[in-house]
Amino acid sequence: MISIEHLTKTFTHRGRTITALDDVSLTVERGEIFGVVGESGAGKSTLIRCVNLLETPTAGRILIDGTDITTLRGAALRKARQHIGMIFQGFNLLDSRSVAGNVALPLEVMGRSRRERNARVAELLELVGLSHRASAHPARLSGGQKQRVGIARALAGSPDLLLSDEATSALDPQTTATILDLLKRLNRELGLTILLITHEMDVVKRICNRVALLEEGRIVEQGKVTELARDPRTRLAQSLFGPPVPAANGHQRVVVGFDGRLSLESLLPGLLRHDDLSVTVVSADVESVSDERIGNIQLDLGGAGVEPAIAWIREQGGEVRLA
Amino acid sequence: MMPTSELAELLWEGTVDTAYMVFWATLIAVLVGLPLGVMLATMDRGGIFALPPVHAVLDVVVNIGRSVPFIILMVAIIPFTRAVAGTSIGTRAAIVPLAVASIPFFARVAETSLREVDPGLVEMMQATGGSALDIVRKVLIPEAIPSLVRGITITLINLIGYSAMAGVIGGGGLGDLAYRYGYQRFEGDVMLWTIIVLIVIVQGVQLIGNGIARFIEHR
Repeated sequence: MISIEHLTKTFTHRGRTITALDDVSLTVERGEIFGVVGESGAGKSTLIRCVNLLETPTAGRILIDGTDITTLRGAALRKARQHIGMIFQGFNLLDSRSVAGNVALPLEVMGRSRRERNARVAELLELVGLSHRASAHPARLSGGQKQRVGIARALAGSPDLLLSDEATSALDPQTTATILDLLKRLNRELGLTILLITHEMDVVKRICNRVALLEEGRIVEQGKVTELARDPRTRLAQSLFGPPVPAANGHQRVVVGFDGRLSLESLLPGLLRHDDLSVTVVSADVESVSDERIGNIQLDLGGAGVEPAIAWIREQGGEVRLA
Repeated sequence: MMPTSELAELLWEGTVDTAYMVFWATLIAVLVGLPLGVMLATMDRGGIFALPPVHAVLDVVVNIGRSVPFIILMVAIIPFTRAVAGTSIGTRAAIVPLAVASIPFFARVAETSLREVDPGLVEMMQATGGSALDIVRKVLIPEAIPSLVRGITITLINLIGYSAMAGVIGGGGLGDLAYRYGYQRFEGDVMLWTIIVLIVIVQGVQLIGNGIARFIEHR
């Protein structure tokens, strides 16, 4: 769907050159939800804005369905943008128009007739659950409703791809959850591919299939969310579960990752049946990530029984890492 | 003291003349000044219609227009006024200098209103595939309308002030009245009443302008 190849973006400000993106490559598959996380200033926003050429890349290519979008200009670029939806942190709704008027905006740009527009707007408002607010003005809506209007507008031209620029960052946690569920539903029902950027790990955990971690304009980690989250050495896992704590004196730190095959409930009683083994639980976390229950438990094991205990955990299907 | 009926008649005539001059001058100022304001707001470097040389020239021209004191402008363009209105004396002729002075004024006012529109909305329109013309027509102007209405109010009130000076070239109106009776003939009561009427008009225009702006604001 999207293939970003060696993307570099530099800004020159008062004679100084700032590298916002440094040789970034990533691929987003059709039908997946791909998240890019990173702190503010990491270059996330620049990255997503390059995909519809709101920023012009300094070097590199961005292929969308095989077309290098960085070569497009003028009418061809506008045409390509009509097939890429975008939602924003600040919603960017026009105060001068009603909800229906805002949703109709892309259809007007595409030159659809009034009759077509009205029918499509009604359909879109139904899809995001805002039919009853069609004639309201944005100022009368809650944050969550505003973003629903933003989503309906982004989908007006039936795009295959949706870009989400911190779309839930201005919302409270409950509202964030409902918006993410809506995006997930659209992804499933319409086969919509979503590229999103966020600084919120919860967003990644809740809806992303794959994730890339951006740091100072470089991708430092990239992969399936479930795999990265299970491996406590990854930055993603550390942001989900917190940084590792040093092992107690004379003990072996063991991190056991589990993903449903081995449960917390069966692990501890099993370990305690071993001879000459002291078990200290340092931390245990279970997270529901992309509809899978995964997590890890960190144990400090001591005594002569450490080796057989580790072998036993592996037999049970647990993923053991010695730290 | 002037008889009340005669005074009322003078005041009424003056008000009608002032309203006539100010209305037409404002209308012309808005019709010409708004496109200029759009150009000022969008043609600079990085703007959606980036044409920096045109912008630079326009910027200077508007500044020159704003620099010349109205009383001097009015006299200086008498030949132009005569060419357009057929005469340089009277209420109808006064519309010409009033409009000429208000065009650059309103262009700046409109530029400011348009620049205050959230850049995020412009970006949204670009991301949607809208052209620069779409951005002006569907985003910049509609979103700036409440602010533009406030700007029109300011222009109107400014013109009421200017129109008093137009009295000097026989423009008529309330300013002319205050000048001829109050200043030249020492009829203090005429001057006082004229000023009271002007205060009422300015208050009324401001109130109505604010009311319209608030009504169409949707905030």
